[in-house]
Amino acid sequence: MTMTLSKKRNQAVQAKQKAPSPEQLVFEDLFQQHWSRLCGLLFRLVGDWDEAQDLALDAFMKLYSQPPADEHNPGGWLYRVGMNLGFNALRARQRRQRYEEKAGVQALEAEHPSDPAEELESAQEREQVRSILAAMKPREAQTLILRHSGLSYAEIAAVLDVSPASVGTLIARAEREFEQRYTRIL
Amino acid sequence: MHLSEGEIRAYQDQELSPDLLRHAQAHLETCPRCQARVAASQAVSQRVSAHLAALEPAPFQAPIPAKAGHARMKAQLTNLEKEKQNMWQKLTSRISRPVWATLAVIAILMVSLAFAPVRAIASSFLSMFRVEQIKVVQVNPADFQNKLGSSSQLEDMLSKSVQVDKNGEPKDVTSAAEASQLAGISVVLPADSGAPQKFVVQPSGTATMTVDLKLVQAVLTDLGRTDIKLPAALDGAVVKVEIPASVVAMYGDCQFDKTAAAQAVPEKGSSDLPRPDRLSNCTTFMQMSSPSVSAPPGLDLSQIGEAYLQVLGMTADEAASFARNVDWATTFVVPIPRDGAQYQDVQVDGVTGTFIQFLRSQHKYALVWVKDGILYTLSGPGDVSAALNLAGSLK
Repeated sequence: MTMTLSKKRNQAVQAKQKAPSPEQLVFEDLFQQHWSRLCGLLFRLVGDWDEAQDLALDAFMKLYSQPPADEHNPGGWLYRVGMNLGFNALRARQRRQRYEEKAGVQALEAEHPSDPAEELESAQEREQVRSILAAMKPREAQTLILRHSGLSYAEIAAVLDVSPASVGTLIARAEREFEQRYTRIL
Repeated sequence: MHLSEGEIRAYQDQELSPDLLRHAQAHLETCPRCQARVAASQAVSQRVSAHLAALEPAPFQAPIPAKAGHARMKAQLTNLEKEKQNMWQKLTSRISRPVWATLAVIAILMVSLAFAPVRAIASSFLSMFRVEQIKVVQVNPADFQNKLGSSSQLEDMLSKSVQVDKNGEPKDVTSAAEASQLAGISVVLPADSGAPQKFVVQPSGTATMTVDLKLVQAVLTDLGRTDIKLPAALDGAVVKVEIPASVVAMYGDCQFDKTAAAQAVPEKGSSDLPRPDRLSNCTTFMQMSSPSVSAPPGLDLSQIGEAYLQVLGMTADEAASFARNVDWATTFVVPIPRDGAQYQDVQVDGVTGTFIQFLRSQHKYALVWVKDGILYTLSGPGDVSAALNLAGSLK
């Protein structure tokens, strides 16, 4: 967390802390509604619950301290910010790994598997999938993750800020792109 | 008309609106081509889905409950507030904290950081260093303050490891002779300024720090320097800072309350030399035997010297290059804000001093020099010629 909160915002935070305002109650609802799913979605990207929860918390903190001007869609905003944080984290890790040993081997070491051979295979699969996602256009990669995490077309539309009617097309394209990239690396 | 790619995909997910769904169903009954496209699309989706399934959490794995997440956020918000308050306290009120402790920490940082082992005397006794020169390093105060402000361990280190002893109380004096006798130095005063409005001798003092390696490391971690590993031998080492008695003479429109007087000395001699904005039209002249610092010899801490500079806001390269050009054994490295002050070397009384001009508090300056083992600081309103005139009139 940076310490560069503006004075104005800081006062707003202080004011909010004193008594649960209607705004704050709404915020609790937002947690109830979105916390678990946002964490699950981020887990898919980073593969670690602690990190996923930290990222989700960052997204909630951002929503709290700098709420979007257009407030009719806080859920969509939350996922959008959370996804950006998640993909940034994923890409940062990919950059680090590029200089390191084969990804699957590291993942294997990190996770202490019970069945080494099987675990190695799925660790490699995870790293492959993640590196493809990191390399894809952000919107396409996000679409895949959102859809695969069980969000409805309406919800996906709210996150991506597009019309619900275009979500099918986005998913279809993203899937095709993913598959092409996957086939290419094999 | 055939179904669009998006309609086919939405049809698969049962996400078509009722109207579109009816249309799609009717069309599919009569269109083998679109039937084939649906099948192909489904096959792609299934394959992609199988790959993405690798990322799913294992069964029974879940994040902490939403309530706990919300509680965490509230805790973070509270911490943020506290940090800001702490930082504010650190920046503004040395009133509540013994000024010696602050000075001690800076001196300790310097010892552990600034004095290169080359100069450490290879004896089994304490090495002694004495301030003979001042060197200014420009820092970005925001960086420094953020890092320092967010160090939760610094307070702990201060309270547990640092012991401060002060020998007596400040004493008002009426003449240079009386001051000289009390302070044990030959006191000089500006010739043309008349009698000082306030003339006081501050008692000598000692700050002793017993190094607790774990705490120091924790502070370094807070400062973002986990890469620095201190030698284990440092643990338990005793670092002692001797601050001799000092003589403070104030001229002009000065605040004479206790706080200002008590703070005058350490402020002028310590890291943040300049606080002239507090004493708006006041000129302060301070003199004391150079403070000295003793520490166990042979501490190989040059790497932390660079870290110290980096903590102050330098890049690694800048720190390394700065470190090469300093005689660390005798130099007190004083940080000043990069955008709030300018500095230059000047000749004072036959030695090289450092002149600092503050940009934010209309024409305030600080002039610091060391001659014959005495540290002088002069601060007040005006520019470099005003400062040098005054310094030149000392008798």
